[in-house]
Amino acid sequence: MLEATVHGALEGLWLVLAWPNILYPVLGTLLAMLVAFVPGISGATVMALMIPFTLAWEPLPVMLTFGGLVGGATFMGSITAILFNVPGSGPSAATLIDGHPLAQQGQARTAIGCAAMASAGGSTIGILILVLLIPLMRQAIMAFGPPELLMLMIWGLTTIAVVTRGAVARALIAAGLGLLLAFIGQDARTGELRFTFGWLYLWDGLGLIPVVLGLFSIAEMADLSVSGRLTISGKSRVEQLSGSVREGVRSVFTHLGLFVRSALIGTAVGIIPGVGGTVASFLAYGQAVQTSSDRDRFGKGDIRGVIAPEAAHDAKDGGSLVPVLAFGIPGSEATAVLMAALVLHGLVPGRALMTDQLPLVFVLIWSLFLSNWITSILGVALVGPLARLTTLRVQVLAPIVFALAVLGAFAYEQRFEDVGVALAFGIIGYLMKKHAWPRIPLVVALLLGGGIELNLRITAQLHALGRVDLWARPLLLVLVLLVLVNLALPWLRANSAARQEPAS
Amino acid sequence: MTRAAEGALLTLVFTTSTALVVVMSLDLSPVARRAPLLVALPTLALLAFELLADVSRIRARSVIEEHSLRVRERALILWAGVLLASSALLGMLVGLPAFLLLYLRYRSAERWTVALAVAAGFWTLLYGVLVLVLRLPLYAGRLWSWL
Repeated sequence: MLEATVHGALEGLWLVLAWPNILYPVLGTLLAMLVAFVPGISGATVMALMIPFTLAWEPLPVMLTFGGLVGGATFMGSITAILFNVPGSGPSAATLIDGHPLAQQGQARTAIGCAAMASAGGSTIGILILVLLIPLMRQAIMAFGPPELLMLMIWGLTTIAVVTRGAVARALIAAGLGLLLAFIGQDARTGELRFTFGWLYLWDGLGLIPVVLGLFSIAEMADLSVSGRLTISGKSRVEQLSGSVREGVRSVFTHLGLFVRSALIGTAVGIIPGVGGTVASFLAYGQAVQTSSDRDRFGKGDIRGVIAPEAAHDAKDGGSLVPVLAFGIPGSEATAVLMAALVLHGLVPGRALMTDQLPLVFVLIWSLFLSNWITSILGVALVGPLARLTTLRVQVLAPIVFALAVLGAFAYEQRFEDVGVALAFGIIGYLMKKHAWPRIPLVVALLLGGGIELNLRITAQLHALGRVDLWARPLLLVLVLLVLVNLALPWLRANSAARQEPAS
Repeated sequence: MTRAAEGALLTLVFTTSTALVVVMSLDLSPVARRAPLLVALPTLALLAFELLADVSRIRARSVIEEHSLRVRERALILWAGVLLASSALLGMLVGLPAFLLLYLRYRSAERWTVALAVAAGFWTLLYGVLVLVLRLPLYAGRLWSWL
């Protein structure tokens, strides 16, 4: 089996590198990078828009192009997170915690260089592990049933709440509010309308993109605009910026252990269907905080806070393809669109695809890998002009970001109501920032809410029918323990700090 | 209004919204209300503690926010209204560059040449990438259909 996998991997690699095949992932990457700079237009949106153009294509160029589209959009989301505090996608939200403070300190070049290296390296580790693990993948995926998936998502959410700067209680409240927002709309099982106030627009629930654009892009620029700060970095000339790409790249090797650990977390989470990159990024960020002796530096522009989520985010990409291709279970919006594109081209996910057409599967994986490296190299090449954006006057930058946010909100599902939602969440986001309420747990909870409710229901139903013994699932018990540790940690830390204070 | 009072007001809005979710959940079937209630009740409890802390902060500190900050905040809300109105009436292709032009000229006090160049560049990006390359249908605006 391993021999067949290696053979399939090599054949797939040759197919990607053959002329003119190589052009497809390159062009797909460039298109995704260009479009993903508009906040709100995610890789999934670009892929969905590309499907009609590729209907007449053969499966090979489709795999090549879509691999490039997924990889290209991913990294640009991190760039906007670092420069403007605007996460281009859910997973990039973890990068902005330390990436944007670095940009504010005039070290955007270091942060982008580090993100580029960690992304490219992370995706390499992810692919290598994937190639080695494909024969064992089935058992690994099967270990995660609905109870484990539920607890894994809750673990991800509590990790975010604990590692986000500020009061833990406020982070947990924000996560709760995010989950409640996720419950708006028609109930998937009973068909009942929940919290829609009779408004047709809310039947499908609140869109993630308008909420993210409002809470981050609009709120961030509003805050900068109101604060009277001249530029994002506080510097008006590029020469005044400190840091360098080399410093950023070197930091990945300085923190090699953290980088490898984060990449392994990303790969492991990627393989589990239905969890996605957001959990991977935040779990990696959480372990970076929790395994460091000087955790107070996180959230204030610590380079380790960029390495961990970026490595995990890109390492996850390769792994996340396996549940889609092997079982037809997409873990994210992007992989759901990818699956739709594959089915339209007669490539039905399942055992046959993973055995008879393994080289084609690897074409997609290598194309994604290539795309991750192209974006990282281009990111480094463009670091000068990108860092220059942090020296642009806020009064010029702010209206452009406002206009892009409105455009992105509308482009998401072509509904004008989304523009109103983005502006409303812009005001809420501004007030949350002003009064020290963390916004990231709210967004991540909104993203995970649907999955949490679905897995909660299935678990409860299985338990009621006596089909599942929750005490006889060791993986579940481990995850429950991790959630409890997460919840207890802030109080334990506060107690130990209080004990140390009188002693000192 | 003091900054602490504004913070307490925000917490109160969150608390009221969560309480509303609890009340509305009671009308739902047991299956549909399970997850909202599981989340809303502990959130409400945490919010109640937070609200008490905010109220005590109001008593402890009563720093009046500087007048200029209030003025800037109000101006920004006004410009958000202009953005919404221009894109709703004129559509994305005309309304967004028009908003950029007006904001840069009158709020940022940029020269006409700078404002025009940025607006034109933005229009080119909109038309070139989204309309020509991606064929993304952009919102057309109400005004044109009325005319």
